[in-house]
Amino acid sequence: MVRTVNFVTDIMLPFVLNRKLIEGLAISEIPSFKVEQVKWVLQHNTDKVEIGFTGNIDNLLNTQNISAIPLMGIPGGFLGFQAWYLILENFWRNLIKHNVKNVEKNSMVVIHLEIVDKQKTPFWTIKLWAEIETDKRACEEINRILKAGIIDAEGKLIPEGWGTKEMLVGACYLKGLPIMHANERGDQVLRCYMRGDKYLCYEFDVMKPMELLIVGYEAEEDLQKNLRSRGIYIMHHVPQDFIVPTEYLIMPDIAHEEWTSWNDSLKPIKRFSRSLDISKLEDNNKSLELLIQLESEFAQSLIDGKNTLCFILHPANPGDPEYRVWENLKMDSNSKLQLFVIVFGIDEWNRERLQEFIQEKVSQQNVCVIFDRHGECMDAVIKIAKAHSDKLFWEPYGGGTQTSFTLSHVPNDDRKKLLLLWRISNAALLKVAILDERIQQILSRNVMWRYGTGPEIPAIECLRFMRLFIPRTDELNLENPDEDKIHQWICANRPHILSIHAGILDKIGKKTPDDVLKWTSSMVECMDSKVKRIIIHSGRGIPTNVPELKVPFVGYSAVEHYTVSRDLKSKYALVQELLSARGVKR
Amino acid sequence: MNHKLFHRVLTADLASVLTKHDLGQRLIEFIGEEILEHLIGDKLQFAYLLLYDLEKNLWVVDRKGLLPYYCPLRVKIEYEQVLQDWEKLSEQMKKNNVSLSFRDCIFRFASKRQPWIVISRTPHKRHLSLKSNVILTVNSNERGAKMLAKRLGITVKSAFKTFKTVFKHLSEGYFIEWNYIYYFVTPIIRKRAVSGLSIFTNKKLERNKLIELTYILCYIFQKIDLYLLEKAFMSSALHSAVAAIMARNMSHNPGSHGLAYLIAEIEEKIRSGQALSVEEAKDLKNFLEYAKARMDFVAEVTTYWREMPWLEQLTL
Repeated sequence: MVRTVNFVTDIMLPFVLNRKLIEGLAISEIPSFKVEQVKWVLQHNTDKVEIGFTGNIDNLLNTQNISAIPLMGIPGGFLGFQAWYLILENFWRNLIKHNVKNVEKNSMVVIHLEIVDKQKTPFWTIKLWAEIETDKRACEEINRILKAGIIDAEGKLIPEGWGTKEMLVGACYLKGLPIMHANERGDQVLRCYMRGDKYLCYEFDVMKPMELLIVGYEAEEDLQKNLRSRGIYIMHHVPQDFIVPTEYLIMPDIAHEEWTSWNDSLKPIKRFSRSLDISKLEDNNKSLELLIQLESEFAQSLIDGKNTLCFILHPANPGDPEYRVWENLKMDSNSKLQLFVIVFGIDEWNRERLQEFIQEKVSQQNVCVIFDRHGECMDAVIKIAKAHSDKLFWEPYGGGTQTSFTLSHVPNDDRKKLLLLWRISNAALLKVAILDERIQQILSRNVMWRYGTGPEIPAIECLRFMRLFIPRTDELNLENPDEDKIHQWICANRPHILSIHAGILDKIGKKTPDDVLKWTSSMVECMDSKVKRIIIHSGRGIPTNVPELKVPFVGYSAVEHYTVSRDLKSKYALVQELLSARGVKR
Repeated sequence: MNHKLFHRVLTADLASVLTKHDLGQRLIEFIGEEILEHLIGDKLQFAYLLLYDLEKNLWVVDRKGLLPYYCPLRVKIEYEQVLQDWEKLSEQMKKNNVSLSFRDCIFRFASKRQPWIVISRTPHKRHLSLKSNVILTVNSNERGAKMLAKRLGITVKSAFKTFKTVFKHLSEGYFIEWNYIYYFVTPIIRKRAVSGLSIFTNKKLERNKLIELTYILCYIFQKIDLYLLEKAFMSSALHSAVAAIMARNMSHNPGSHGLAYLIAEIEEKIRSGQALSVEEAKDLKNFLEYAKARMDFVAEVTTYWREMPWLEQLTL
């Protein structure tokens, strides 16, 4: 439901680097306008990050303190990013359209985006303005439009201020408000005022990350507020059909009837049963330690408690940002998660030694999660996988890719870093299967991936090493799907998470929610027993055969985005997206 | 006619009750205290409010899934007893493989409807000499279940099973001593009924009282019906308006500004016989990815709005 994202790399960067959009929206007023003329200043407390269009993203990011900008919770995950773009796109368009002369006067347009902690609430307040002088009458007009609402008393659309209204819709979505709020209290959802009598400023609230819901407990209101501001929610009872937006759920007794009658599709996969001393969570370190314990417990359930998880990070050289951020992380020697940051040429590491090292680890029944810049360890991994494929995860990556962002721009705090490491590891361990004829077709066209100077690898094979299973057309043709063959394929691969295109269900005759529900119930039987979740994805909104509040749903774009592109593919991002999927209502 | 009561109902501030968050509980309390106690008096044992929120597509229930109810103080029934009974019925429904609720059968699937259905514990002939287009009386037994399905013109096969299970439940050790259940349904003219009451009494209601009750309940429930309908109508009008805004802006911003220039650039490349450079292709890919995700987002928003109203309520 709500996915935690890196605001800079996940949301702002794709927008800032979208030359065709930024220029396209400006060209009709200023024909010579270039995207290089825009600078975005992101600010949190006194920390600032300045980004603009550049050919080299790594250089841009490595000179900035990205970690200073806080993480955000986005309803709807990847598709929800678009709610941000509704705001940014219209802000940019209106800025140019209504201030041509002032924009032309400046060689550089500086846009500020300040993230302010809305104390003791689950929200950040965003202040958005540009260093372009604007007439205050524009502000008055915008407020009038926001107050008037979107529809009149007869339900008719008020045909004015389309851009402003779309910004309002975006702001409403990002705060998780009912759509009615956009109509009834628009000027509270999106606030507009003059900043220092010169600049037009918009203000709205967005979510902080939503980490943990604890049900069956009570706590003092003050403590609750404090915890909520850190993404921890406490509820004694949950309302009917409550959709849990957090990544983790703790219930006092998982088997109790009150909780079992609550449909699993509305809860996160990471749910636990334990008793807690809620007051201890007031200490931020304790609550972080709890989340780390939950991740560790989840990992144990995936790999069998006896084994250890070896996280091997192999940057290409010591100058790589991921080397700098992970090299000094202190790990508890008793931890079930061990981190090894290895660069060839340092501490006598080379390809052969690393191969022996991995071989030794897996022979001792350990599970190795390997992130490999440029995929230099590919041959070694292929050899070892012949006997130990179930104990290996391997993801190659290059600079400027989604995975390098995940590994490079991490929190400064060691506990938060460790929590991220566990999350990445668990995302790696989860076996994900995707059944989608479009993704299958794209990847079946002999797509080869290569990072830097590394070797080439067929995309579909690469994804398989990432425990991300997409059938080859000769294995299972999804254009003309056959129910029995799908069943056999799922039984053979035994995924933890299966995401299937609603259109395939349609084609195999599952045309009603009941048909789909029966199918999913029979299919989970042959999935991995440790975690079982079937998700439906589609690119046409929520199709009519998706059972309401019974099967999690995710948009097609999200699944495709993190899967088919060399630079954007990321097991971590994909799994985060799938983990945030919940049952939906039409 | 009870003029005092009619006046009270006429002047009641229903609008303020209807806009409240806990609409169901407030409404049944108003109906129970202001109307049922006065008209039914000691015969009243218990009443459930049946309210279908057309905007959310849900029955109005409390946090434990229980319908809003009214119980006179003298009857002394605790919340836990009502809840237990509710759970017991759910278990029986599950055991008998019944998926359709009693209220769904009556509210959704009845093709013929009258304001009152009276369920009688003892055999009867005719109830209160009211015409059969106003009142339908059935016994709480298997024959009554069959008759109810038939007389309401319900074609859903499982309705009989539902009625049979519910009647059996009502007849065997129910938590209230009842002899009659007056089941009021409104409106009777629309395909889908949205509001009503089930009133449990220990004695038969007098003819005049029942007529008065019909008038008053019709007045109140028509207001409620209109409110629920308007809410649903405004919500769907707003969804359509939002879809229209997003479609129009999609066409305007990424469309006529972004795509238009892009197409012109590509056409120029074709004319001059030049291929796109890697950088140009990257820019094109970024833009197309953006547009694709936007289309997907618009499709999702038009079918499903992700909301968490409780989140803001927590911070008020």
